Formats: sequence, structure tokens, C-alpha cells
Amino acid sequence: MLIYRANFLISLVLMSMWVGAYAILVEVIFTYTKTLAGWSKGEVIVILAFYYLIQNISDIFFKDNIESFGQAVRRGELDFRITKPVSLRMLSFFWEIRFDQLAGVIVTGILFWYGISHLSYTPKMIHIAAGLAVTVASLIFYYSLLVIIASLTFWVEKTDTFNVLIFNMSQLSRYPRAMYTDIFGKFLTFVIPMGLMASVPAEIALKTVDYSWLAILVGLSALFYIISRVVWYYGIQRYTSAN
Amino acid sequence: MKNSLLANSKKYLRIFRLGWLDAVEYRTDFFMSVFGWGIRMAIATFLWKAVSNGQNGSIGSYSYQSIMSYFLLVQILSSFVFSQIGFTIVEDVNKGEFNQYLLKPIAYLPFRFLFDLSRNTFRTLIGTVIFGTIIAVFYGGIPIFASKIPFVFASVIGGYMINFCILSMLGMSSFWLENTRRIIFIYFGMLTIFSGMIVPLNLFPPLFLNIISRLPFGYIFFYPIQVLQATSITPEIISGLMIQWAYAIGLYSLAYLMFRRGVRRFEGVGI
Repeated sequence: MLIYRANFLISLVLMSMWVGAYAILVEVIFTYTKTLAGWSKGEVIVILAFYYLIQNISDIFFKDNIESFGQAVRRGELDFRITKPVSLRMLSFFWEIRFDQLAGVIVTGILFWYGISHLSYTPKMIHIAAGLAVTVASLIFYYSLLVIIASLTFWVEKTDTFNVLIFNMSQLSRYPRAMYTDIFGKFLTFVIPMGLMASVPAEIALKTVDYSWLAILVGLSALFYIISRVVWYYGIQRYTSAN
Repeated sequence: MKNSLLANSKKYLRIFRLGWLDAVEYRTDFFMSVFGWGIRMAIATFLWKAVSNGQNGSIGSYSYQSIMSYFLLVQILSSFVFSQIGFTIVEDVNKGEFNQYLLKPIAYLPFRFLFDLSRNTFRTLIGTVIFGTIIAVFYGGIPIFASKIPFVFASVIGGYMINFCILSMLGMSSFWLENTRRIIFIYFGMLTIFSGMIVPLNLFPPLFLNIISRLPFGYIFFYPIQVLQATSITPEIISGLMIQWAYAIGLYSLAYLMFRRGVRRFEGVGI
């Protein structure tokens, strides 16, 4: 990170632009309304901060690696990894750690501070810590979903468009889950729990803890993790060396 | 002279056709991106529904119907305006693909412009059918009258040109800089905030609006949609068009100058 200072600075500017865009959107929305699906401005910004925290951590550790996995298979780079005496899955999906993306965490930290400073109450530190701990479940879900898509490369040649689709879907978690109603809301809660990814950690950090939502998020994250392992297992058996 | 003009127009018509064929060939990617549009529209629907519910069905000067119509028009426009040209130029320069264009009897920028325009035209036609139908059926349509049509075309093409020229210049900065891809992403961030893509600019506080209305970004999305949603041709629309095209011509001239200087710096290998 210190060697590639320019990269770090560009990441900082880039992340500030994106986070700034959506923080401005929230600001504009709250000039016309007092609450959004029962959430105040500060609370919505905290949800946004949790969303970006999940994105930042995935950007640092696994997102690029998983998204470029299909390319690694097509180019035959998997052969080189398969011969190493470590888990292929770990090696492939945590191949490169993007420390320059730490800039995003700094911006997200500022967003957290901004959101919390706009609350009409002071949340307890223990609740914020619990909310941050629950993001681990959200990260496991997000990681598993990306791995399932990446593993499809053993059956279909290119999965790039699926990655874009997942990124678009992840944007649904920027806002309070109560905003999504009807069948769409149920889909985002029980089928692909994007609606819970940032909302549940924010609820735990700021509001009364509803353990049933926590249980649903943890349960579905575990389920998605198991599915990702099964899909990976069957996928890797189909792999034929390129060299 | 006449023959040369005819040959040139035939050449560029063929380039337009190539771009069209390219769009048709990669239609699966495009149809997958339609799902992405659908997700963005779902977010807009639920978000602005929740906002308007707290405001007796209105948001500033917009009704829920008109703001949804606004975001559907953003989707149609983005299929026309959005361009990979910045990244394409970076690839051409960095990987040396640019060599082949120097050797061919075609002008590089008009070639890229037409290729990109025709590809986007295919996407826009499909986007118009999908989102135009939704606007007409669910959100009361948009006012259409004869005198508006030239303004609509001029403003949409003007918006496309501004975006194309800015992206081209960012792409051409790779003649001087090593890695310019992330600068292009920074531009996309600015475009998201200042062009009216995620929130109509006239919902911003007056001071902020006053500043951003002086930048070219608003003429890429917000202004063409203002024209599309207009019920009559007002003096603001006419002056807006003049400003938009002044930006478009100014930026094209800058892009052209940058290209000429950049080519002089370019070192082709294996020509």
C-alpha cells in the first residue's frame, strides 16, 4: 500500500465519489421526507455504511479474485494453482489481497461517523460492535453467492454478466429492507437475502434486536455456504487441464 | 471531390453497420444487462414510492408518476449515452492496437464515434420498446408533439456527444499516463452525482443546483429528460440546447486537439 501510494490515493478519491453520490442521494431524499420506511436520515446512512463496509472487505479479500476465476480457468492458470499443497479454493479466491482498497474502509468510517452524528440518540458501543460482528454472516453469504457464480464457469464458458448481475443485486441492500414490500420483499429476504445483508447488522447496531432476523441471516448464510461448497465440488470434478 | 465524398460516406456507413452487427452479436450480454436495468428500476420504484408515501404522493415538483417516468427515461438514455470508448482507447493505446488505425484510411475518432453510436442505437431501440411501454402503460406516457421532436433528437445526441468527448479525452490521456482506467471510474462517479442519473437535479437545494447547472454533466441526462418530459418548448429549453451544443462542440474540438498531440507522442511497435 505504501509502495503504491498513487493507487491508494486514487482508490480514496474513487471511493469518496461513489460513497458521496449515495450520501448526497440520501441527503436529497431527506429534504423531502422525515423517514424512509421507518428509518431516520442518520439510520439510513448507517445502513449505507454497513453496505459499503461489506463491499470494502469483499473488495480487499476476495471479490476481484472470485470474479476473475473464470478467466483463470479459461487461460489454464488453474493448473498452476492445483499443484500447490494448499486448498485450491482458498488459493484461488484469496489469491491477491488488495490493500489499496483499504482506502474504502477509511471513507466508510467517515460515513459511519456522519450517520451516527445525525442520530437523535447515542447508540451503545456494545450494539455497534454486535452489528459489526454480524457483518461476518453477511460477508459469508456474499462470498458464497460469488463462489456459486464463479463455479458455474465449469459448466458455462463466461460468467462475467452474472457477476454484473450480482453486483446490481447487491445494491438492493443499500436501503432499509422494510422499503421492499410484497413478493419482491419476500424474495430479497428468504430466497436471495440481499435485503438482509446490510439492514440486519444496522438494526442490531441501532434498533431493538430482533433475533429471528438474525437467525434468518445466519441460517441462510450457512445454507449458501454449503451450496457453494457443493457446487464447487461438482464443478472441479468437471475441470479438464488446459495444459 | 464528389466521388471522394461518396466513398467516405460509404466507408463510414459500413462502420456504422459493423457497430450494429457487433451489438447484435453480443446480444446475450445486452439482455443480461436488461436484468441489471430491471434491478435498478426496482430500487427506484421502492425508494421513491417510500419517499412519496411520506409526502402525500409528491416529491418536490415531481409526482410519483413523473419521477418514475424520469428514471425510466434515464434507463433508455443510458443505453444510448453509456459508452466504453474511454476503456477502448486505453486498450488500443496500451496494447498497440492503435497501430492498425494509423495505417488504415480512416480517421480514428470518427471511426470510434460511429462504431459506438451504432452499437448503442441497437440497445436504445430495445430499451425504448421495453421502458417506453412501461412509461406509456403505468406512468401516463410523455407529452409528444411535432415541434418537440427536433429538440428531443438534438438534446439526446448532444448528451451523447458530451459524454463521448469527455470519455475519449480521458481515454486519450493514456498517450501520456500509464494507467488511466481508474480516472475513468472517477468520472463515472462524478457522472452519477452531477448528471441527474440517481436524482433529478432540480431536487437539489438551490445553491448546489446553481453550481452543478454550470457543469456539462447535467446536459448528458438531466437536460434531455427535461426536454422529453416538457409539455411545451420554453425559452429555457432553447437556451439549454444552445449551451449543450456549445459544450459538445467545445469538447469535440478539445478531444480533436488532444488526439493530434497524443498521436505525436505515440510510439508504435512492429508497424
